[in-house]
Amino acid sequence: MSEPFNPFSEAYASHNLADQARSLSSTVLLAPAQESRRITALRHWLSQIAEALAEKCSQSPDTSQRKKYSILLFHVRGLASHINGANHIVPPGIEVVLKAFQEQLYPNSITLLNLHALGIGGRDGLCDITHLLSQCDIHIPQIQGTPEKVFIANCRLGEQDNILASPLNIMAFYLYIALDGIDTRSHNDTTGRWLPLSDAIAVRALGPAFLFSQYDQLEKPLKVEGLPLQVLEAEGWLDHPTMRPLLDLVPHSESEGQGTLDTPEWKAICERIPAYTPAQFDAEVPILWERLKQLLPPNELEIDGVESDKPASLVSILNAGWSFYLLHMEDLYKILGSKTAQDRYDAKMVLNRLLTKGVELSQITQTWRTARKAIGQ
Amino acid sequence: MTSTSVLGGTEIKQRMREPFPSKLVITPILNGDQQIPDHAAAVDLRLGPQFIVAKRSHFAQIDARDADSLTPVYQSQEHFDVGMEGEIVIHPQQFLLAATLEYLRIPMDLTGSVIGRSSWGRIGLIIATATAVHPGFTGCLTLELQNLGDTPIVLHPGTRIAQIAFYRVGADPESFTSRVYRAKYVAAIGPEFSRLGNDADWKMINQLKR
Repeated sequence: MSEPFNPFSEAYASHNLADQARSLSSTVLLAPAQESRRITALRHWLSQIAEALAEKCSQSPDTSQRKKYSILLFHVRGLASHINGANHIVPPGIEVVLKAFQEQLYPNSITLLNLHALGIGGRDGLCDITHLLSQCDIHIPQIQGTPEKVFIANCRLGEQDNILASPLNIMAFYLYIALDGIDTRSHNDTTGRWLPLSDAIAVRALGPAFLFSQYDQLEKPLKVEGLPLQVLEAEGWLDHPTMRPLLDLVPHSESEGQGTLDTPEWKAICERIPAYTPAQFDAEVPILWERLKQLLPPNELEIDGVESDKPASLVSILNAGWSFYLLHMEDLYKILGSKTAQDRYDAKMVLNRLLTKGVELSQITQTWRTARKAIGQ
Repeated sequence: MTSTSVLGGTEIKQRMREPFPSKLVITPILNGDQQIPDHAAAVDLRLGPQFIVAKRSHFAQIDARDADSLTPVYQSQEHFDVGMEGEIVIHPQQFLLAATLEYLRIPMDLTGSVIGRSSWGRIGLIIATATAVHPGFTGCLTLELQNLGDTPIVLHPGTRIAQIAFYRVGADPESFTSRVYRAKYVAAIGPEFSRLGNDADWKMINQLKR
């Protein structure tokens, strides 16, 4: 005779969790008509994990194990909901920039951009799941095409095409993720300076544009900690004739972060993350300004040639965008006949469109050149 | 008086090397020998990754005279970006809007005419009618694609799909510098829906109907 049905029993709780996993396993496969192959592979992998989880739950009514299964299910569900929420059939400008940056850091990864009411952020959506799989003793080999990393990016709804601001903030998170292996967080836990260090890494890799982008998100100016400015000084930005006057405008506190640039951790970061230098800025940005003044996307550095041989770098495009916005917008206002506040907003959106196209075309040109080399052309 | 002859490949390349404002910009040119052969009189343009697909909907008709009637039609379009690694299928009789991968800036003394490549036309893919591109245009070109054949055709971004020929017009290239653009209508970076409802003619047409 079978046990009487008891919805309050341990066994029923395990069955319930198993059924939730089964339901998630089928739900995660419900894909839209257009989706990248990497995301499709990720969906199938998550579905298989949920299926395996269902089996485990059915077999083991053990409470302590069930807690681990429940946490894994929570993370799988979370990533699945990010995949569904990030299904932009037309990527907003910010996604174009983030994908280009992610391709440089981890070519076999994906970016899932979610638009929210609050907050800007980024994290790796796979690391928790990978960690929990081994804890739960579940071994599902990754399906071919499953991304190496899943960058989950959050941006405020309405800011998705303002590529002057949000992408640079999220790129700072990407850089932090790329530093796994260097224990930056423990350093920060003791000093309480996680954010300035993250900003310092971002300003090293992304140049002054990162610092300027902070102010596009705020209702009132905040003081920048001293550390990011020390990094700019170390790279020679404070002696740069064009950028120095702009950097002088940034409100900052002097005393923070003394000695950080001499630590072994910072030296390890410097080895991993190359700096964007004033020399690169001088070699690329004035050419890109000239293109913007002609209502052209800043995608290439060759101004007198026919074939696109010299695609501009992503970081130079973003620095060209910010320095153009701060120094040369009057030129754009003149071309566009901008007089009112609405006109100036429209002109800013023209600049954003040109920068977005610049990033997209420079990325395509680089990919095309690589493919041509691969087939020996 | 300048003649209105068509520009050959060599001359097109020459115009691309000139300084602003008489410079012709077509960017990116991913393979110059393929896209602008010296002997040809046009530039091959590549298919971009963004598309607008018309859906069959509950809207009864499009009456361009009523600007508002275009709004629901706009809502009945689906926008897609398949990425350079993706593809889209155009089915028999289907109509869709695409854009060139290239971003163009036409100087004031040139005008362009866009047509499909005959190789695509022979398998049924038509790039609508010849599209005029006016002096001073700056942006990506919207292409009107229709499959007139009986077999679905797979479209891959990056393929050479259309061509643009350039003709001289009797205008001073320097006038580019004094031109004022309207921010909302400049620097298109993907396919754009019809703005027929904004035509100034409708006031007059409406008056005739009173």
